[in-house]
Amino acid sequence: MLGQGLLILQSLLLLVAVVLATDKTYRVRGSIVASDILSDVSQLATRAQVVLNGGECRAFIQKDGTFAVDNVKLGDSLLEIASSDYAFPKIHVRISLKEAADGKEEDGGRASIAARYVQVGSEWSVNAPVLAYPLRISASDKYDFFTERQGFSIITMFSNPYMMMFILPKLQANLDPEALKELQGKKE
Amino acid sequence: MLGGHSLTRAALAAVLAASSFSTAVQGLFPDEAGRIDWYRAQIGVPKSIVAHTQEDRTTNILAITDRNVLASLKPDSGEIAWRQIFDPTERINALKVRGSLALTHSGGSEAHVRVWDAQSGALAWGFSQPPSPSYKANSGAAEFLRKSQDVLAVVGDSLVRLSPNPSKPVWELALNGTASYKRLVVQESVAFVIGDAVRTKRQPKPRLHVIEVSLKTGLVKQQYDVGTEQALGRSSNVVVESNEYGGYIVWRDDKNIVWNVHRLGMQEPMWDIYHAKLVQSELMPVDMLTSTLGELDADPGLIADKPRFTLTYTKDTKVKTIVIEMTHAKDKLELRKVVGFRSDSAIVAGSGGATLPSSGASQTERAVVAVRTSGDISWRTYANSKTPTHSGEFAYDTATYGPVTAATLYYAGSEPRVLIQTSGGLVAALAPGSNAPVWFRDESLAHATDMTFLELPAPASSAEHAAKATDPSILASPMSRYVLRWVETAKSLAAWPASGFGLFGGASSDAEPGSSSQSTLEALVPTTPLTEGDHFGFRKLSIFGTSTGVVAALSSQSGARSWTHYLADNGTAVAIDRVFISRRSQPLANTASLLTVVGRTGHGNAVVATLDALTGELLGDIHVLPFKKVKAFELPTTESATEQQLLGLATTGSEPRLAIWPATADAAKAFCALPEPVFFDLGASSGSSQLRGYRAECPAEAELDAWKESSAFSTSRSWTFDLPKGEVLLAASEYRGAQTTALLGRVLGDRSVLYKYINPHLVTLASRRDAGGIGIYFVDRVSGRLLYSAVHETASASDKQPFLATQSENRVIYQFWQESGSVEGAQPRSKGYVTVVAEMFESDKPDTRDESKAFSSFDLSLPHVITTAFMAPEPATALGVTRTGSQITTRDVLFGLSSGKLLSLPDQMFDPRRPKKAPTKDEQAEGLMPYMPSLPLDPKRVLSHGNVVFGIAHIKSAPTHLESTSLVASYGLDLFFTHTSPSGTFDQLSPSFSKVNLVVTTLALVIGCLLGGPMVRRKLTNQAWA
Repeated sequence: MLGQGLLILQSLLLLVAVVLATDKTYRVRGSIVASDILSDVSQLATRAQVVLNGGECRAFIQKDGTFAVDNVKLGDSLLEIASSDYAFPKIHVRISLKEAADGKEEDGGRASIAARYVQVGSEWSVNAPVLAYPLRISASDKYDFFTERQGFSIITMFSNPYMMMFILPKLQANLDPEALKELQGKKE
Repeated sequence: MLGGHSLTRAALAAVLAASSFSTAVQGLFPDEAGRIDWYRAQIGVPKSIVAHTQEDRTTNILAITDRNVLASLKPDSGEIAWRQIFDPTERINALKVRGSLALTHSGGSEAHVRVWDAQSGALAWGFSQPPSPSYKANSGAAEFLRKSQDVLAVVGDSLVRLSPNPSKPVWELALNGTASYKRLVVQESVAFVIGDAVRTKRQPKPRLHVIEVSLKTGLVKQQYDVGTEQALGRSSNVVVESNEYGGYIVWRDDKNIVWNVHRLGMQEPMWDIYHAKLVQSELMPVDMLTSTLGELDADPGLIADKPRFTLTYTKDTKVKTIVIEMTHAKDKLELRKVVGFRSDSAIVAGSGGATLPSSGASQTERAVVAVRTSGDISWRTYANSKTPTHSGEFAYDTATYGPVTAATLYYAGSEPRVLIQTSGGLVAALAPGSNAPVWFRDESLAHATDMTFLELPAPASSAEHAAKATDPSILASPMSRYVLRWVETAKSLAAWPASGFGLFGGASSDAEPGSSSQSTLEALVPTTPLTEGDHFGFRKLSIFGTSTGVVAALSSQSGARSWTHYLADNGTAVAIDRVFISRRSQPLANTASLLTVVGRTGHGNAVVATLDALTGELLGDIHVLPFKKVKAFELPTTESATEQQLLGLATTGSEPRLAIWPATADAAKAFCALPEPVFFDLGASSGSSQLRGYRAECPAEAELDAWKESSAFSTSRSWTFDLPKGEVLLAASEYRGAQTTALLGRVLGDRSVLYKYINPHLVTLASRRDAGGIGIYFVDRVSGRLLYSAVHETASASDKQPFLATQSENRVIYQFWQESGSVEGAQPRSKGYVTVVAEMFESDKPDTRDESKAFSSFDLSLPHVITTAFMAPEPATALGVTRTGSQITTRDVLFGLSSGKLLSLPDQMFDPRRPKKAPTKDEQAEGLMPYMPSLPLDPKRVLSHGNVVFGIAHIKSAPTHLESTSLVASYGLDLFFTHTSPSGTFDQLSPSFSKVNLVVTTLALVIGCLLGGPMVRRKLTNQAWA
């Protein structure tokens, strides 16, 4: 609990990203953490990549799941884990210049990073909770590409709509006319 | 009141409801995977292969390829152990291997240095340099330091020493743009950076620039120029190095016969050896002028104990290559000839080394391999003497994959393996004494530029085959053919019990799924070409044209190769741009299907070749035409003599001309006899700002009679479509192949009809705007009229964020990256790929349509366009749509995703009329789905399932004979073929349908009737008597 609180505090402090030289591009670090869905992150090393802004920057994933996306520009970016067999949450990364005490932007290129989960198809919100930095991402789902083939069963056969088409009129014909009337009377 | 009728109606409604649910998502069944589809993982044609045997005697084969892939191949099977796909814009420049680590340098102005675990392929650590403004083109190199985990690299415009933990520079040296540095030679305490010096006014000649740097401090010890008129990579110089001997530059001055050997770091005198004795004894002065040098080791720092290189010269029209080794004799450097090969045809040499089991851990064997490049492949390895240590030979036809271009040696145990590479893209491992490769990989298809399907003739029953040979008259009448077929069926029925009622061994020979590697299972040269299709049109021939000069035909059902043909002009591969089926075989007329291949020579001249589409046999010669072409397209007519479809080839130039193929008088006359003039458009390539429409003009009859290959029709410009100022063309798309439409309109909920606007001449243009964003234009290519335009201000497009578009029927679907353009502090708009659907109708009012009888681009009214946009689930690299025979089945939209999936989404999802508010009664009746802003990534709709299909660049689809089913082919880097049924398999029995059950049930019913009949009759009789 204390750890979590610290993490939130840490993220609220808007951690300083690594600044590379004077070109004002930044490095975004993070790691993919093991979970019940994906227990062995090392398999991602050759099957997945980290993609920023749909391919503007790419990063390979290390055996322990850590990654570093280089040459990230200031502003808002979309960070995705491109994996063929696992689904990952999408992350909105905002890098902004750190404000000095007097409210002006610092010249040194020191920047802060704020990352938030986003949904495809919805507007990005700055009110969503900020994630801890370096990012810790875990798989949200393992894709299941297949449908189980269903074997033969009487119930499936009779629940088939075409079967109902044949049976219902027969049932109706077999009904005693008086019983039918009674049934209709009840409905009315 | 619920009467009898309403009960039936309720039942019907239930039936309808149930049947509409039955079309809900249904994924692949596990048993279908690999049976209805096939997949081949590829790496591309290797640029550099480093085979390295470690101390624990495991061999790693690492390769970097032209498709920007770093891969490790299993030495005994050639299968991909692992691979890493780099961004297409980030070129891999160098690969180095030390122990269990591999090092790559990639990118240009923005450089990346990465160290990989060679065993697992995982990134160990990496370093990136942001784009440098003073970067010199083509510079970049990386090398491991000795006895250290550190790496030295030229990134951007600096030299850096990088340490793995943390991965940041120990020191950085600014190179000040003095040269484009491409080579590093690392020694114990210093390193040499070698590059092509920048030409200045004072020194206008090309030369090499060398900087000696202290590894500890990163300070320059000395720098100097060497080798006038030399540039790295030229065949008149070579840089060699070794741990023991240091580094050398060997070069021959222009028009000089003297070979200089310069030891790096030594300035006075500049050379260690001036005109070596060996060269004098080996070559005549005349031969020296044309002699060339070559490097032998892919990664010289890996094993070099004594530096080695090759010298090739021609003497009396015979080519000779010698391998030269540098040795110290009495403290003096000497050049020694290790071995020389002479052959009538050129030879390539490679090298490799291994720790041999017999020689102990510390001792390694180095050997040289020589491979003859033309005709049958024969190879020999040499260790230290002129007698070959191993040799091998095997029959190889260069017409299949081209001549051998590179060879590498590695060891499997103590036995050498020779890894050869051909210009067509074949990679094969050879073993001594074996007459077939141990394994091979066909990497040409990773460079495929175009693909077409060829319909194969349906299988003729064996009786028909026999009749054709013995008594063809039986086949003349349909009645006798029918009888023949019945006899054949009766015969096979008689044989059915003997075959165990078809329960065993039912697998077809063609159903073997394509694996990611091709080993000895498949012969290098396919022996039995596929000439027969199946009854349902699933088995077609998919014919690929590649930029490596290979035309290859594969079975669309199994991926088995049917034939391959390598096309070359003057020893250089023809880069194939398009493949066309120019004649389809007529079953009764006995004509073969023809394939016309259009490509470019190394000089850019247009090349046309015609092949037999079924056998791959080259018919006639390869025709190199005396012009460059910009566009090749099919014309709607055929040459009367050969029934070959005409192709139009538009030439380059300010006044383009239109050449035709076949270039005969007959064809030219057929062209001029066309009822309508031929229009075509040019300028639809990236970077242009204008689309121009041309019309071909027919000359006088006499000129047509004298038609030859160099002839072409003159053209007149009929229209010009200028993009607005400040816009350049990004991409253009058009309809692919003939379009089929089943329904002319959309029936709305109130039974009125919105008629589709279908214009086969529609071209979709996308432009990049200087002011930001993308402009979209729908243009008619015959009249040049603008039909529709749109601007997406927040869109952006680059090589890394591609713009994609596809057209089908009355719909254009395109995708682009949306920048948020957010203002600091304001709520950011979302970023992501946006898929836009534009659907065209003849009018915005239902039941209104163009009543004119003939279609004309000139007096067509403008379409009513309805658009809508969706957020795409993942970045895509290719778009496509499925096609079926009559197009009664709905179309699925196919996405090649960069994460390695082929996703298929239903047509209904892309309906721009999906209601954004609560649907009205009419909308409900029409069955419109309510609008959702994002497209779902439903794993059940991923056609490629567990296969990682990387780098999909093209998605093609072809109909089968079953209306429900469409063949889908995706290619680019990997190949993935499957078939899909967008509206369900309504015209097929499900695989779980049991014929045995059906027969048993019918029999049981019959028996029941037979037994029950008399009983019922008796009962009725009894009742009557009672």
